[in-house]
Amino acid sequence: MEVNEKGQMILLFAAAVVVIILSISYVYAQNVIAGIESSRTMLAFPKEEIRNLCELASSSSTSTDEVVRQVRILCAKNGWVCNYNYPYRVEFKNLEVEYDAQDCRR
Amino acid sequence: MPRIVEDEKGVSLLIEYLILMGVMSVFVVVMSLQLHETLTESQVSRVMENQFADVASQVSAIYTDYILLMPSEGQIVTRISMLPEIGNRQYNLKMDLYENVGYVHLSSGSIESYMGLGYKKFLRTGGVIEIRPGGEVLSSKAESKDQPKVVYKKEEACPFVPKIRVSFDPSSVEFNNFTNMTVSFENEITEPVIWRIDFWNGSSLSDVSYGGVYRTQIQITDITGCTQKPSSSNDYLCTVTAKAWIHNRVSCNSSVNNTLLVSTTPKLSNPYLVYEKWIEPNLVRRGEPFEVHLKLEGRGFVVEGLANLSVVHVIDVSGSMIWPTIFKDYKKTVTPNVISRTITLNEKGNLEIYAYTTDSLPSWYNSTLCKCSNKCPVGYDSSLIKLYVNGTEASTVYQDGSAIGKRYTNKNAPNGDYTIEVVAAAPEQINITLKVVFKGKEILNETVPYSNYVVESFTLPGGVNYKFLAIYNITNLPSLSYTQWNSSWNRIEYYTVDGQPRYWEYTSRLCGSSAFSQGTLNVWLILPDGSKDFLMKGSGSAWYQARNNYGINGIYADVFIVDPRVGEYRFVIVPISKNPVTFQATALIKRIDAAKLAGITFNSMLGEKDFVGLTNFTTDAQRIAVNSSPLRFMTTDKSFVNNLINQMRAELATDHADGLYYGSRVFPVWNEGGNNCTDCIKDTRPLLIMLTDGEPTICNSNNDPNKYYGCFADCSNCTGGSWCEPCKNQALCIANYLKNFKINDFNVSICTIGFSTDISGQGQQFLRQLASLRPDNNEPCYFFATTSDELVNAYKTIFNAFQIAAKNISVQEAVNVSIISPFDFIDARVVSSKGSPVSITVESRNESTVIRLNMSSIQKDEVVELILKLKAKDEAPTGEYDVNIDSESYIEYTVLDYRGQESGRITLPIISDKDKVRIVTGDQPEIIIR
Amino acid sequence: MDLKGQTFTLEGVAASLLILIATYTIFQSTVVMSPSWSEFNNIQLKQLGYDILRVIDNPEAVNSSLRGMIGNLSCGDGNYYAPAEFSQNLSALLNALPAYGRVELIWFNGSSIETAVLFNFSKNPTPNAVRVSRLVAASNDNCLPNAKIVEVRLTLWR
Repeated sequence: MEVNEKGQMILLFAAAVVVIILSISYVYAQNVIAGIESSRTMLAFPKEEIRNLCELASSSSTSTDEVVRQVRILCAKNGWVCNYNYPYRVEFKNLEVEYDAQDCRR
Repeated sequence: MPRIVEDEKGVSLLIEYLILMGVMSVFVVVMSLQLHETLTESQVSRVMENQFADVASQVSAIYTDYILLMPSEGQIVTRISMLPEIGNRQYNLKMDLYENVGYVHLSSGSIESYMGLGYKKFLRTGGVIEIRPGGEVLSSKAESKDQPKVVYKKEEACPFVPKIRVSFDPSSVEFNNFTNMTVSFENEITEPVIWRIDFWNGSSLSDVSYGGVYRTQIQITDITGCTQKPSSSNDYLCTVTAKAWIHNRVSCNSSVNNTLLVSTTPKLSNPYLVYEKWIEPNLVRRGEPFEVHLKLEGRGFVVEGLANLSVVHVIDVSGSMIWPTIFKDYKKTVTPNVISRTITLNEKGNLEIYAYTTDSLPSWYNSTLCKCSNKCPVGYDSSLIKLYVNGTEASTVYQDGSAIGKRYTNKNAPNGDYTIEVVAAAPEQINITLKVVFKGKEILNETVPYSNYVVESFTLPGGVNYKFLAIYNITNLPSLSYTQWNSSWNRIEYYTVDGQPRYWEYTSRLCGSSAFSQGTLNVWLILPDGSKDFLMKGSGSAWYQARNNYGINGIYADVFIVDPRVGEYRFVIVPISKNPVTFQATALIKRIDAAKLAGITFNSMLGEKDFVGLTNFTTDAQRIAVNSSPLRFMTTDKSFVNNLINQMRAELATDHADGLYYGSRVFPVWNEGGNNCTDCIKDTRPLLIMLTDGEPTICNSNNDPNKYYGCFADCSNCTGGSWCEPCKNQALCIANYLKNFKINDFNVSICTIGFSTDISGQGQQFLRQLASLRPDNNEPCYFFATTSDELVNAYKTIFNAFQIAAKNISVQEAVNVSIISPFDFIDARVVSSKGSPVSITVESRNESTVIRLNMSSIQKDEVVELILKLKAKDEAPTGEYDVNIDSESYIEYTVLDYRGQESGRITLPIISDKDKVRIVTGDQPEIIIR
Repeated sequence: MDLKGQTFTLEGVAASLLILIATYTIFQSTVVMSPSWSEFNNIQLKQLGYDILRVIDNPEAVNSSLRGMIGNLSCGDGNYYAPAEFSQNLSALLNALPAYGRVELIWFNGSSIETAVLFNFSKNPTPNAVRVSRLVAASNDNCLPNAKIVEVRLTLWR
C-alpha cells in the first residue's frame, strides 16, 4: 500500500500553530475581562443607601423602634443588613462592604 | 559478493527522510516553545497593565467613596476583587503617601503602575482633616479566607480623661470604726463625669460630678470580700475600685483602686505595704503622651497600734545655750525693674527728657522711719528716681508741683538712637511718667504703672517666748555717718545661777551730727503687727550691738527686736540703681530658744497616747515633775510639758552622763518611790532624745555599783571648762546599759542631736557612739544641726523613723518601651508624700525599659508614687497594648511585725488589669489596604 | 533523488509560517474593548436616579415630595395613583434625561413585604435597566397599611 506522506508537514505545523493559538487565547481571555472590576465597584458601592440611613438616624422621630424594625426588614429584602440608632449611629453590611459608624456625620 | 543493501535508492531516501524528520521535529519543538514564550510575554504584559488599571481604579473608586462618606467616628470595610495571579504571575498592591499626595501602586517584577489619589488634606466644616493612606497586600491573598480589603477607620480621641482619685483618712481602720472617704479628680473637668465606687462587699456608690470633691464618712462593718492576711489572721485588706467616665462617652474612662487595712485587733496588727498600678489616660492618639502610675502606700495603725512612744527630752541647758544661733539665712541677687524705651531722632535739635512721678509713698518714706528723724530726706525725693540716657545717669532734678523726678536736657542733641532707662525705688506700685520733648513737640508721653521690689519672708513660730530676734550682715543699706555708740546698755534678761549672774544687754547708735548717704538698696522689715522698720547702717556698720556675760559671743545687728512677737516677718527689698544688687541677711535667736522650738515642734507631732517627759542637764541633771504619783515625770498632756520647756534657761557646765542617767530615771520602771508604775506606760516604746550644744566638760565621780548603773568615774581632773574624758566614758557606759535594757519588751532607744558649730570631731564621734540604731535605716540615730531649721528637721526625722511600715524597699518595674514597641519613653519621676529620699534609675534594654526604685523605709501613712511619662509613637499602629511586663515587675521589701521587728523579706509581683492603653486614630482617619 | 518531498516540506513550512505571522499580527493589533466603557452609561444613569430621588424628596414641597406623595396616595382596584403634581414633576424629569422610569413602593405590613406600582409609571423595564431606591419615613394607613417607612424604588432605562 502506498503511504501518502503528502500532508505530514502541513499537519505537523498546523498542530504546532493550533497549540500556540490555544495558549494565547487563554491569555486573551484574561484581557477581555480586564476592566470589569472597577466598573462593578462603582455600581455596587452603597454610598446613597448609607447616606439615606444617616439622614434617618439624625432625627429622633425617624429612629423609633418600629421604624428601625421596618427598615431592617426592607434592607434584608435587598440582601443588606442595616441598623441605626439616634443619634447618628449607623451600621450597614452587604456582600462587599461593612460600614459601622458611631457618628456617621462627615 | 552479494551487496548488503540491495536498493541504494531506497536506503538513501530513508536516511534522507530520517535526517530531515529529525531536524524538522527538533526545529518545530524548539520553535513552538520559544514562540509560545515570546507571544505570551507580550500579551501578558498588556493584560497585566489592564488588570492593574482595573484594580487601581477599583481602589480609587472605593477611596473616593470613603472620602465622600467619611464618618467622624466609625469604620468601613470594603472587599477588593482582584485576581490572585495574572498569567501565572503574582503582584503586589500598595497604598502610600508621596510628598503629601496619596497613590495606589501595583507592581509585579518589572511591570509597575501608579495611580494618584489626590492631596492628603481635606477641608471640612470642623477644620482640616488629614488622611493617612497605607497598607500593602500580595495578590495571592485573594485566594485565602481573609480577602484583601480597604479599611477606613476613625476613632475619636477623648476631649479629656477624668483622673479619678479615691482616698481614705485614716487608711488603717479598726473594725466597726469610721473612716472618711474622699473622691476627687486630679485634672479639670469640663464635661459632666459619672463616677462609681465599687466596695469589696459588692455594694457601690455612684454620682455625677462637675469637678468638685465628694466626701462621706463610712463605717466598716462588713468585711466579706476582703483578703485576710495569713500572717496575721485579724488583719484584712479591703479594696475599693473607683471608676469614672465622661457622660455619654463610656470609652473615655479611668479607674483606680485603693486598699484599706481593717483589723479587729489593731494592737497586734502588722504594718503592710500596698500598691496600685494604673494608666491614665488609657486612650490616646498617636504621638500623645500618657502616664503610668505606680503608687506604694504604707498601712498600719499609728495610734492604736504598738507604735506609741514614751519620749524623754534630755535638753542641755549649759551656759553656752545662752549664745545665739542662726534662725534663717538669705542671700539672693535682686534685679531691678527697668523701664526701657528707645527713640530715634532724624535731625539735630533741642531734646528734653523727663522722668517723674506724682506719687509720694508717705507710708514708706517719712521722717518717723528715719533712725535720726531730721537727718534723712523728707518724703519721697528725686534721689529715688534715676534716669539714664544712653547708659549715663542724668542727675538734674526736676520738680513741678507734686511731680518729682529727673530730667535730661541737650540743646543740640545729635540725631540717632537714644536709649532711655528709668529706675525708681518703689516698694509699692506707683505711676511713672516718661515724657520726651523734641524741638518743643512732645514725641513720647507715657505713664506706666511701675513697681520695683522683692519680698523675702520668714515666720517666727508660736509656742516659745523668744528673748530676742537679731538680724545682721545686711549689705548695701543707706547709712547715717558720724553716729557713735550709746554708752548706756539696756538689759533685756538677768538671772543668777549658783550665785553667778547671767544677762543679755544691748545698745544702739546715737544720732549726732550725722549725715545721710544713699545705699544701693532700701530695705524695710515689716513686723507681724504691720509696722515698718526702715533699715539703716550707722557709720557704715551695724546700728545695734548686743552682748551676754557668758563668753564673747556678742552680736552686731541691723535689726534687734526684744521679746519679738510670733508671726510673719517680711523684708521688702528695693534696688535703687539699674544694676543688680545682692541682698543677704541672717536672723539669729538664742540657742536655747531654738531648742525650745524644736522640742515643742516634736511634741506637736506626737499622738494622744504618746507620753512625754523632760530632763534638763548642765553640771547636774534635773528631772522636771509633770504629773503626780505614781507617774511623776511623764504625761500625755503635751501643752503642760511645752510650758515647762518654755521656762528653761542656760546655766553652767555640761555633764552628759548625768543627763543620760536622770533622763532614763524618768521612766517609772526603777521601783522608785513616787515614780513606780510600769503599767502606766505599757505598750509604749521608750525613746530618749538628747539635745546638746557642747562637749562633756564635767562629771560626778562614782564608785558605787548601785548608782549610775554601776558606771564608775573619777572626775577630779575635770574643771568644767574643757573636754572631760571620764565623763565621756561614764556616759558611754550608761548608754550601753540602757540600750540593752528592755522596757515593755523594747530596748531603750537613744537619739542624740549635736547643735552648734562648737562641737569638734571628737565630740561628734562621742554623740554618734551614744546613739542607738535607727529603726528605719539601721544607721546611728545621731544628727548634727547648726541652724534652727536643721534642728527642727532632726526632730521630725526622729519621729518619722519610728513610724515605718516596711524597710529596704526595692521596686523593679519593666515596661514595654523599646525600639520595636509602640511607645517612647519621656520621663520618670518619683514623689514621696513625706519627702523621704527615693533613688530611681532607668535602664533601657533591647526589648523593655526597666525602672528601679530604692528607699530605706516607708512610713505607715506615707504615699510614694512613681509616675512614668510615655508617648505613643507617631507611626504606631492602632489597637490595644499592654504596657507592663508582668513577669519582670515586682516589689521586694523587709516585712515588720506589730512590734516593729524585722520578720523576713518578701517579693510581691506587680500585677494589674489596668495597665493597657489603646491607641486610636484621633482626628486623622486612616485608609489602609489589608 | 525525488525532490518532490523536499519541496512539499518547504511549502508546508512556508504555509504554516504565514499562518503564524498572520495570526500574530491579528492579535497584536487587537483593540481591547474594556467592558467598563459599556458600563459607563449604567453608572451614569444610576447616579442620575439617585439624584432624582433626592431632588424630589424635598421636604419643603408638600405635595410633590416623596413623603407627600406617599401620604396623598390614593388607591383602588389594585391600582395606586400618585398625586398629579408628583406625576407631572417626575415625568418632566424623566423626559429631560431622556429615560423611562418605573416607580414601586415597598413596605412591610406587619407580616410580609408588599409591593405597589404607581399607575403612571408601570412600564416594564429592559434587561439593562438600573435600579435605585430610597427609604422615606412616611405612612398612609389607607393604601399602605401598617407602614411607617416605605422604600421607593425607581427603575430607569434608556
